Amino acid sequence: MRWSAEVDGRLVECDVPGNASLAEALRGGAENTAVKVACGEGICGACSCLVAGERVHGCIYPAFRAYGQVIQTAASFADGPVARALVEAGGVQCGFCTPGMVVAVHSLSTDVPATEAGIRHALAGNLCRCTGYAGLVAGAVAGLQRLRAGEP
Amino acid sequence: MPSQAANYYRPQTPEMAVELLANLQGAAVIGGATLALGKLGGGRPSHLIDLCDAGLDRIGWRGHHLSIGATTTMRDLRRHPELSAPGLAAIMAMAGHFEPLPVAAQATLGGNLCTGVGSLVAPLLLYEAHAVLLGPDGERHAPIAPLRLHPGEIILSVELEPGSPMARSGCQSLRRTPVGPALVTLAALVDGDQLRLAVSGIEAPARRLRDLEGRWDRRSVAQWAESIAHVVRPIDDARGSADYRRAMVGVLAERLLKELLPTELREVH
Amino acid sequence: MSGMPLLDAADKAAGRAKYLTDFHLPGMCHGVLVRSPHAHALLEGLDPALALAMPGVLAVLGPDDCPPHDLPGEAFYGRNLMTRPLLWREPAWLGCPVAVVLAETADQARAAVAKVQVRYQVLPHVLDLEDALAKGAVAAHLGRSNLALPFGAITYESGDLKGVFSSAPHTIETTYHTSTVQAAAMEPYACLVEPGADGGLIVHKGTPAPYELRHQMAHWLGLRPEQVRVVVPAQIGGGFGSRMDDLEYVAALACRKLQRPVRLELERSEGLVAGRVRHGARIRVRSAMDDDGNLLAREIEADYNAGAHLDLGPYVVLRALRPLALYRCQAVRFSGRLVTTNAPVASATRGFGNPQATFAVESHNDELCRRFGLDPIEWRRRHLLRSGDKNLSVGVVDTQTGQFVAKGATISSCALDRCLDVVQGALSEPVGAPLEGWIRGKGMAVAMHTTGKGRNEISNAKVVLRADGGVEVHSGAPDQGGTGVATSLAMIAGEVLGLPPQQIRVVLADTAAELADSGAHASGRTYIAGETVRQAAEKAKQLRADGAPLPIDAHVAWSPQTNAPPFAACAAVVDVDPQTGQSRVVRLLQAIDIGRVLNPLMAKGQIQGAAAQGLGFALMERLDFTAHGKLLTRGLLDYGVPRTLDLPDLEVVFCGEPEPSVPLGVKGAGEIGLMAVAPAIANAIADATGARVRRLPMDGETVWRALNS
Repeated sequence: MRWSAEVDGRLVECDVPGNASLAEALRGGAENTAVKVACGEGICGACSCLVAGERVHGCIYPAFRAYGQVIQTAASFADGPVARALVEAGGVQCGFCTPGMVVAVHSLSTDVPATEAGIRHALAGNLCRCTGYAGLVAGAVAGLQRLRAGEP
Repeated sequence: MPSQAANYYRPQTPEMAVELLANLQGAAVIGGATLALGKLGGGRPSHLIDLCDAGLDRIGWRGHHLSIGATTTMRDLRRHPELSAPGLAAIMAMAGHFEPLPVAAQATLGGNLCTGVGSLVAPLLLYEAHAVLLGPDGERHAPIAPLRLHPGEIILSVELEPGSPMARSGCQSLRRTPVGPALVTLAALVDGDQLRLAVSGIEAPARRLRDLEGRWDRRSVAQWAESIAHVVRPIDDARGSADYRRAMVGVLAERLLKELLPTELREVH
Repeated sequence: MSGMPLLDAADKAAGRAKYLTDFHLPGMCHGVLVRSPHAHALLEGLDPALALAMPGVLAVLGPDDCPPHDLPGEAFYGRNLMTRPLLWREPAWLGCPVAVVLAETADQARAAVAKVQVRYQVLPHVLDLEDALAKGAVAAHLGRSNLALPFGAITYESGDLKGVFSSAPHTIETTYHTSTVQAAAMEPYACLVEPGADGGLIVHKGTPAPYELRHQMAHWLGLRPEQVRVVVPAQIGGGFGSRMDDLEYVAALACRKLQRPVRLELERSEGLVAGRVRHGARIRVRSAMDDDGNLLAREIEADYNAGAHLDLGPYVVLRALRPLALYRCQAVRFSGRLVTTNAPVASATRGFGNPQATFAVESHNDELCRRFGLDPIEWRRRHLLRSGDKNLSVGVVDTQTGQFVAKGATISSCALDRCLDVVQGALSEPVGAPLEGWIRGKGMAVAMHTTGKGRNEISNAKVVLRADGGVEVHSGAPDQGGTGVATSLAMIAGEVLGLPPQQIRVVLADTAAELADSGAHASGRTYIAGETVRQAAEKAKQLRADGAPLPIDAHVAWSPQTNAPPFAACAAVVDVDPQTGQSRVVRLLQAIDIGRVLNPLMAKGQIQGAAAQGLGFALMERLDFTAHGKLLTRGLLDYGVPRTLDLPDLEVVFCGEPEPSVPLGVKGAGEIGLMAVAPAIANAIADATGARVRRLPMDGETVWRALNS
């Protein structure tokens, strides 16, 4: 089926099977490598992306439910304050979970405090097997603070 | 929007969904799609019938029943004002288990019932809940534990009787791993001196412990907990032994009843 | 905390970095394995006709098309224990591959897998190590003993063990169990093989050992080594040792048949049983003491559950020697056995046999100290190895007799005393109060690991000063995900040449470069590949100083002389709910000796990441099977990879001095942070509850049982 959406600020049109997940559409059709599939069961968060500003697990979100929507992957936030803070805090090792972490931090509403406890709670749906979360959590706290301070 | 092309469909009404289901080989109805697209459920369906526009996400009153639409998400359940009464706290507690996971915004009530081990089943049983199904032969009511759909049927909603405004309820569960399946889930409701109990995880299917229910008698909380542990028929598997599950339903019962019972009943002994 | 992030960190965070599963080659087709639904069976028939009629299907290969993997490795009693089928006639674990379906797309291949008609004769199976050792046990492989080593056990003995035990006033014996654990790297297991020049192959694979793989693959296919090119992707979504999974052999076979690029990529549910797992173990520890609680002699009997074939098992079980070697006493004895079962294949996994044994020995030491009323830290100070002591865990096995022969290596540097000071300080701080109804305890443990395999290690490096002023580092060593080999090598070369690491181009692990390297095993690459690069950079610098014209191409090959063990001491504060047995780690601090810390930011990350895996191993992670050998664990959802909420902030204090055996001064950082975590937690649980948990994972039920026994 013909699929189309605005992905990371760019209009994407491609053929995608109607029973595909959003992650499959983005990775396959849209050749977007910022969406990783690690578990395929909606538990690890590596495939996180925003659909109309709402965070979803791309691996279990129907591609065509996102038809015509504005979709943001980690590529939308490349080298931004959150990504930079994660890098600086040593929150990036193998990097397979990192794009999903970046998206997760960007999806947080203003009622999530930019504190260690707030971030640990908010990122409980993002698994990482490399860092023990220490650098990730520290980086996410700093990144969220910078984001809220309006840092570009 | 290609709502009627190829193999993704987004019917505007439940009736259209049932008709599509009757006519498409290998189709699956999706609410949140967490089961159909997730790799836990085996093969991928060839057609997706997406209920997101079928108007099944409403919560409202139907007579004296509270009706919760099948595509209501866990997050919407948590946020809905009709569900904020203390009598419905058991449902809230289990819907809240999914927070802060992003899947809470996607997982639906209908999907939760379909898994067969859904965490909402035990709390819903407290309220004499039944499922409202729609199929080629029309609408019918069906028990939620076990929920048995006939071929071609979809879940429209779950209807329940919330009980009196004075009721208090709660639900606790215990898991081997933080987001793994519950070894034991216990839900309880106290309405005046009447007590209702339901379990899941420890038994399959989930069930009300009707033999024990009734008036809060002059037994202590500990004695009640012991009775509950006595009547369950625990599953025994590698996730958790029957011994442990039985002991844990007692522990959860003591904690839950202490939390729910009004002081005067709690302190009978 | 100073140091620098990985050079590719920004690309990874942006989603620009390409992993193997992001590669697409023109004409690429896809393979999906047909897996046995039985833990043990015999193939009675395999009919691909229906599958071949499915859209897009190109071929179906079965056992008849696939020679066994018979690598030219070490032979034990004349038999190579690592020989195994790749597509099995007698599938010996649930998920064991019996055939592969090749199709234009992965979805087509996956759909056709269900159509391959396989008839199985179901055989009795055995999953549990103790069941497999029982009298009259089911044979995991027809007609073979479950005790898989031809000589029964790998053994080591020194001193008069019998004499000391019979005359010692006190002995203590305890037995511990650990479970089968998954590395659960985030990127799915995958490989991509394409036709190469000269009738050969190009293998893209996140292997830790590209040159070894080339050697084995060429031998297996009857090709010359230079016809096989192994390229390790620059980015790998976590390895932890577990990527040596044989997928590339099946893909190579398919590629040669179809003469097209072939990719195999596993789904997570497949990966749970198809990747390599950590051996479950039963370990008995026996100690003899004098009246003051001094350790006189010690014996360890380790039985490791190898799963359906031995793989690297003989080397893994040998590493149960490390915690035995860590304490000085008059006499020691070691016996290590491998038990084949119908569980998933166990092999190299971060820690390589050491975490299981360290859990056992460090729990045992705590029991011993409690029995004698001794302070566990002071007791350890009395007995732990020091610099200059012999390290008996370095040596080789006589493949005829199974006797381990220690090489007489010495400990070149050891800062355990300082590590213990740090842990003692942390544990003397007030611990605060737990939640109502919970109880809080504190515990500690220590560990020793290795830097490199201790034998047969080699690295080759080239430092190139280009005519245009650019600088390149070429090394045969691969990165293994977040381990940061490329970044470390750039820092090391930069230090010598006076350049920022960002200005150095690092090229790793492409066998076309002919820079042989023994592989990213055993926490060894910064020490071994790093020292090699340092020497190459010095050589380039010297050539330049001597006036050599550009380009300068300085090549060095180097092999280490020792294994420079790193050390750890871990302090844990743990809360336990005595009613449910559930526990939570509220503080975890590790004092670490990895010699000079080259890059504190990333070294800390290695320790923290290992600690998180240690905590999962301690409290949660386990593959659960039904009595019928089916997997109950459905995916990461059930399995128990720790989340943000399951871990405290992981504290790391570096205590080491520069390691003297190399000018670089470093020791291995990749694994040492895992070892001491589980026993420190077990010891804290014992402190809180008075109950000793001798089985991992210490989930609610396991602790509850210990409390109620």
